[in-house]
Amino acid sequence: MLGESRRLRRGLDESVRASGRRPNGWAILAYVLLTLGAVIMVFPFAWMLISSFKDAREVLSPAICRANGRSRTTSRC
Amino acid sequence: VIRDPRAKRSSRLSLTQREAIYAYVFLLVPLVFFATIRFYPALQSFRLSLFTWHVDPARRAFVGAQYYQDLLANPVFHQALKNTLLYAAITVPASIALGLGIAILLQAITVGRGWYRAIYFAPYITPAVAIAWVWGWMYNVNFGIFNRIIIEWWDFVEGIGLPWLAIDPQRFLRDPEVALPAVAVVIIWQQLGFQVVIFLAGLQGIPRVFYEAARIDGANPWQLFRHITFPLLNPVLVFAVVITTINALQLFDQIVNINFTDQGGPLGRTLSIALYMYQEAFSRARLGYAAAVTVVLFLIILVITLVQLRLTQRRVEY
Repeated sequence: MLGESRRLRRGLDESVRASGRRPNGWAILAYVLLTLGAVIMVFPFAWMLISSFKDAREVLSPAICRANGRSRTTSRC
Repeated sequence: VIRDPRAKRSSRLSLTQREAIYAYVFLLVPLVFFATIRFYPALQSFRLSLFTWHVDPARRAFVGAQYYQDLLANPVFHQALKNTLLYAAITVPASIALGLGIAILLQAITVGRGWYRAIYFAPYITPAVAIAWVWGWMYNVNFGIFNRIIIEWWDFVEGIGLPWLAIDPQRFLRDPEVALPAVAVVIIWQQLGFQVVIFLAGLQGIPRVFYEAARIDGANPWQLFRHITFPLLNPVLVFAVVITTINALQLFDQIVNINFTDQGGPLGRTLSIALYMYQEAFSRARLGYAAAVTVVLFLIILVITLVQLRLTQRRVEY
């Protein structure tokens, strides 16, 4: 009974949302902005993880990835 | 005939009264805890601020308001106070505006809302020390990723023949002008998730029928926000503003760790009152003076919070 009324209400919410908003424009904009923000939020964690796989010398060279043994002095990879 | 007066009285108590007595008895446990563990030490620090410090309580001399006068004349305290207010002035509006914006965006989507919410919330549950060290590393002048990106960008725009788009590498935490905003960015980044979650909860508490009715009346999205979302979100906004402000005024862990070799530097430009208090108490062993700083910080937080509550709290009518 309770589950049914909840389902009913959710369905109603969904239909209100669907009828109220223009099909997809806002949602797409929201996804783009949210993804952009999520990248910024995740970046320090990613950098922490990347740095944890570097040895002492690599961590001091600001290269994003391993120098692949070509040259230890260049920061490019 | 001897009667136990207590027994008589208790039998005359109504059920509600007896329930209230039970409630108070149970409340007594946390009350005693708060009184002994939180309020007593807080009052103690007020007492400490009136005496010179000595390990032996018998040898502490009463100095009255001397430390408060020293404090008000001390330029380092002024700097710390100014910095702390600046932190609040930057982080509170920025994190609330961004948090509200993200919460509204999250409400507009259906698929993956939980994932986005988790990503935005992740920094909030990460230890402040770890965050400060990672950001300090990224801000590093010589080895940091930010300057690395700036230099890459420089090479790139020169390569495509638009050198005027290049940006100079920054000194970030070593630059007295840039250090405080750079730290403020970290704090905004960290607190954003908390704002998002409470605003999301607040938004979901607004009945949909209002939007429906307004839309039928021809309201545009801005009007919906301005005249429905914003006023009905007021209690949540008040809560967010007060909590964020108190957090900003008590800032400590991030500042200690982000510039670990020069805490509060450069030139004291990231020093917060809490850090100043800590340095006075535990690096310079001036506990009486530090206690005076604590009392002043307490008063500042109290006054600001009361003013905020007075200004922002309005009755909400549904």
